[in-house]
Amino acid sequence: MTRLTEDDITLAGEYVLGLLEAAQEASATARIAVDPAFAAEVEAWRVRLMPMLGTEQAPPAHIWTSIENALPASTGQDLAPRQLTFWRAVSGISMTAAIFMAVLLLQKPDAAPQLAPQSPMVAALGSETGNAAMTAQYDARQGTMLLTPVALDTGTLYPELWIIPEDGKARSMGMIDPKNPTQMLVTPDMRQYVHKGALLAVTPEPPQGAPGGVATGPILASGKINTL
Amino acid sequence: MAIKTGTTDLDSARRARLADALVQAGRGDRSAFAAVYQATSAKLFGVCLRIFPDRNEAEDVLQDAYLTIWNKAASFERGRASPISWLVAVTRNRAIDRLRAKKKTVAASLDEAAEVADNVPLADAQIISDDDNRTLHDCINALETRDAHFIQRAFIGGSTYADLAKTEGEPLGTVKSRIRRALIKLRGCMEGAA
Repeated sequence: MTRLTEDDITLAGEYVLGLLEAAQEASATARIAVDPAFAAEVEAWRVRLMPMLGTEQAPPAHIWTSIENALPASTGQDLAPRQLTFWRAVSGISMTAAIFMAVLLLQKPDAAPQLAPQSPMVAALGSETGNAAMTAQYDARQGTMLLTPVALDTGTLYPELWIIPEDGKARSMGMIDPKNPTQMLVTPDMRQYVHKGALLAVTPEPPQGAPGGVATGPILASGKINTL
Repeated sequence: MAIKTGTTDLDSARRARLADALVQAGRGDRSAFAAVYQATSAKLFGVCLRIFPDRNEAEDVLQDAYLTIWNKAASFERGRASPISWLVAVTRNRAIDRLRAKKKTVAASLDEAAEVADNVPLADAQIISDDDNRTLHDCINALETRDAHFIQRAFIGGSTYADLAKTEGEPLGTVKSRIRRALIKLRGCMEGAA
C-alpha cells in the first residue's frame, strides 16, 4: 500500500464530510476504487465521525411495509442486483462481466448475448460504491470498442478515454459521448494495448481533447480490462 | 481499532452476519434484506433524524435510503468497509442530497438559515451524544468552537467549502486551510486516544 501524505488524509476527511466540489469528489471516488490505502483512510474517517450522526431510534413499523412494497418487481429491466445475480449464476462470471451483460441486454433486449469464439474483453469503469460509471466491451476481430456510459458526469468538460497498459503510460483513445452508448473504432496502432490487465480511465477535458495528448483532468472513473 | 470504535453496538459475529445479509441482499434476496433492515433500521433512522429533525421527513428519507441500499447492495465489498459504516454513509449521503435539493429551493433564506445555525450555542449534546463515543466527543471539544461548527455544518448540514466561505464572508482558501488543520488535529487526537 502506498503511504498517504497529510494532504491525502485531509482529502479523505473532506470527502467523508462532503466538503468537496463535484469534480474533486468524483476524482476522490475514483481513487477509492484503485488506491486501497486511500480507501482505508476514507473508511477510518467514516468510523471516526459516525457518532456525530445521532443515536439509535426505532422507526415506526409501517416504514418496512412501505419499503417492501416499493421494491422493484423481479422482472426489472434496470441494473437490479437480481439481474446481475442471474448472469453470474448462469455463467459463473465476475461482477464486471455481469454488469456488462446487464448493460448489453438493456440496449438489445431481444438479442441473446452471443459469445464470440475469442474471449470478449470487458471493463467496468467505476468508483467506490461499484456504481459503474461506464462499461466497455472490446471486439478484437473488428477492433471496435462498445462504450456504454452509466453515470458519467464531467461537468462543463468532456470525457476523454485513456488506456494505461503495464508501462504506466496513458494513451488517449479519444473523446467519448457521456450520455449515449457509442461504438469506437480503435486505431490499429492502439490495438496492441487493449488486453487483459490494461487500465481504462476517463478524465474531463476540453472539447478538443487534452492538449498535447496529456491528461489535464483528474481520473473520474477507471477499470481494468478483463476477459469474460 | 477502527472497527471497534465504529461499531460499538455490534460485536464481530453480528457484524459478520450483517455483512453476509448485505451481500445476500445484493444478490436479490429479500429476506436477507429484511434482516439487514431489522439489524440496522434504528441506527439509520437515528442518522435520518440527525439530519432531518422532523419525524415525517426523516421517515421519508429512511425509506429512500433503504431503497438506495437495496439497489447498491451488490456493490458492497466485504473487507473494504464495515457493513455498518457503508450503510451509514449511503444513508447520510442520501439525506444530504435531499437536504441540499431542499436548500436550493429556498436559496433566498439560505444565508439567514446559516446565521441562525451559527448562533445556536454549541452544546456538547448537540454535536454528539457523549455516551456514543467519548473519544470523538473529547476531540471535537478540543477543537476551536468555530472549527467544530464547520465540521458539523458540513457533515450534518450538507455545507460544502464554497457554502461555508460564502456564509463566513471569508476567502475559500482561508476556510479550507482552517478545516484541514482542524481535521489533522482531530485525527491526531482520536488516534492518540485510541
